[in-house]
Amino acid sequence: MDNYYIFTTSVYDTIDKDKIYSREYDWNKENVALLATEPLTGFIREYNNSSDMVNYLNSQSSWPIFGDLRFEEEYIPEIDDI
Amino acid sequence: MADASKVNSVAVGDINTIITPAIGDISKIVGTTIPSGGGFSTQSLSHGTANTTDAVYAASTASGFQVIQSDEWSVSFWIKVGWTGSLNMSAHLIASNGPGGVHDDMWRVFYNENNNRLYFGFRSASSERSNNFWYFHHTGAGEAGAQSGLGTNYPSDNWMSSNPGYVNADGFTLITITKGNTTTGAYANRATAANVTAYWNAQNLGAAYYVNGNTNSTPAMTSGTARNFAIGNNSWNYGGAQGGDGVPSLYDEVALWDKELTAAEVLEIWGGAGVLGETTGAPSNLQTSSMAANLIGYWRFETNGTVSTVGSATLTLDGSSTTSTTHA
Repeated sequence: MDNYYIFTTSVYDTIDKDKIYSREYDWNKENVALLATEPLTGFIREYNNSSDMVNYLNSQSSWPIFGDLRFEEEYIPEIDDI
Repeated sequence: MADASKVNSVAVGDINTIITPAIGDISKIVGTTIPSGGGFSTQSLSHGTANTTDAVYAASTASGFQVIQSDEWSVSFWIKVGWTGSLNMSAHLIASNGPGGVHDDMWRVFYNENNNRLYFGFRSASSERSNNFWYFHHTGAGEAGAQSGLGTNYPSDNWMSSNPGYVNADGFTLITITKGNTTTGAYANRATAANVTAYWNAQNLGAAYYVNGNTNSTPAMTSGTARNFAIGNNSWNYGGAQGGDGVPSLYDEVALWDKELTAAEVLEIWGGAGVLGETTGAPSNLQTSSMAANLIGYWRFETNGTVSTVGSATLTLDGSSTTSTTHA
């Protein structure tokens, strides 16, 4: 999987969650960075690897600092969206 | 014993725990010598939070540290959380790895705050990894939410200083992860992880969760690789990206064991009653425990600071990380 994207939260909320492997919010929960299981559209930014996206996010104060191996913590709608 | 005003001719080593009064309330101890590294637990490790130079790490070539996916081992530590709100990140509590980078013989215990999960994971390559986790807002009796006392309202009941769950009189929680000698591989959802168990104080957190196991191969770690060891760093190791950051937290009595500790042995570490929600546990000198021969690493953070009283891994404290009685 090399489908890394940043979406606005409003667009993210419309995406089929079965296509999301891992996702992280910015501090204000206005944007979502995610790893998808297939190509998606409607994003703000896209990347083909984790490092490039993490480097970008870590350069932005609106996002928490991400260490190595982020986007491996799997999003599970039935327990994460309650 | 609670009413005793004076105790004569009792060896300090025979006193397991003094809960109340606090040690600071004892004005005088006459005619005895406190053994080096033993006796009292007054200092803890306070992880720095100021910048990326804050870190707590060690390196060891001791063979005991070189555990792999098919070994029995356990890790236990006391933690007092100091974070006050949503971290929106993963706080790495304990992590170990080889010198080769993120995929080198790594195991880690971390709290994924934004998903309210306690993880135990290990890996040998990007596609050879395994994670088990316990999510605290699980509502079942006997599951993590009930066993920890954190509660099940998510995310308002996430683990933080204002919601520490069941803690002892000093505000510490004992976390213990035990692992058997079955190679951890792909588990089905909500299947009991037969060889991985997590304890909150002396309470089993219930069945571990793991998904997408079929997408990852079984870890194949190497027992001959020297290991680094990190406590409380943001990332999985000292050398990794953001490895120096940490969150406000105190650690005490960090211990590595070369066996899968039993529930009775975890209760011995807790040192209190084994009743759900009780608070009488307290750190003790684990070198006097019945499992002392199984210690392969042990950091007490007492008068000898960061020196492991077992093995050869002396911790290095960088930046504002220090031994203290209060967290950053």
